[in-house]
Amino acid sequence: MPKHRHALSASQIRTLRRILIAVVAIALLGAAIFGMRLAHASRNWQDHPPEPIAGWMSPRYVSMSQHVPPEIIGQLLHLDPNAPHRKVSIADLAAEQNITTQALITDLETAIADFKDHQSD
Amino acid sequence: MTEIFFGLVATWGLLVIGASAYFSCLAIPIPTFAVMLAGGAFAAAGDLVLWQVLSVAYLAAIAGDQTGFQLGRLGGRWLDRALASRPNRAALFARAQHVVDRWGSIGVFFSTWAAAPLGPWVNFAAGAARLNVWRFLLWDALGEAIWVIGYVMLGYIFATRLDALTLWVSDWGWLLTTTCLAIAAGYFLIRHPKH
Repeated sequence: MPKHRHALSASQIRTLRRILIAVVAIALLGAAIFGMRLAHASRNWQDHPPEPIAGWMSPRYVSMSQHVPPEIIGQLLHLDPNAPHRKVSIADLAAEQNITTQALITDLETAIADFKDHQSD
Repeated sequence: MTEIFFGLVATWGLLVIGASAYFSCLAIPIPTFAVMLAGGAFAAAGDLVLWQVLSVAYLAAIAGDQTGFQLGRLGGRWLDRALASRPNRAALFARAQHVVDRWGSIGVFFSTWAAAPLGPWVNFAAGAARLNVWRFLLWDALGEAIWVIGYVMLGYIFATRLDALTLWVSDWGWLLTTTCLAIAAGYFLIRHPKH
């Protein structure tokens, strides 16, 4: 520790107190706002609809979130089952297949719905 | 915004997780909590390996904090020289150093997980005020363990609800940060009476 003088002047203490009061006020306001948002999000947690398929998802993530075996998703996306696993998103696969991400998502949703219907029969 | 980072984790995996954990410790605005949640979720899906996600995130976060701390030390030396001829400001800086020396460990610990948005600034301040290097490392390593394990495992457990989880964790993180800030500032306010 350097050997500086520690005592603060009266004006420095006044400024410090004003800053601390402002910080407390802003922090309490923030806590109230985020507390309410959190309470709202917690109430909706149970009622939240299943996560829709999105471009950022990987094929395995789609398989997990849609409760469909990975082989089925692999077939739908024309992935080589013998190729080593590669990190890729649905958006990347859509670009590789020269179609829009939304078109590929729609195809996936239709095929997954068909698969689930077939399973329930 | 967070979905862009989810896509990057899906494609680049550990590289994005490590870079995000490192650079967010240097005050670069990256939604690292969302990247950690995505790392856990992609590990649950089988795209990544859980222990690798935890290890890379933990080591990168500690490396980022240490870099911030060392940058703060450089800045502190410069401040010392700059304040040599200004006794009033030097007193203020010395007081800040005294506060950091007394409260620095607990500040570093809580700023790594409970008040994570303040973490980079606490690292700079701790370095500038010359908090002991080993004390910094110890409390930083403990705090980062809570942060990394907590967020990655939340993503792993609630992997199928990443969108909703990200919103929930974001609000929870800010609630914790603002509460910590109010308690810390309130405490110092009481310790510095008006007269």
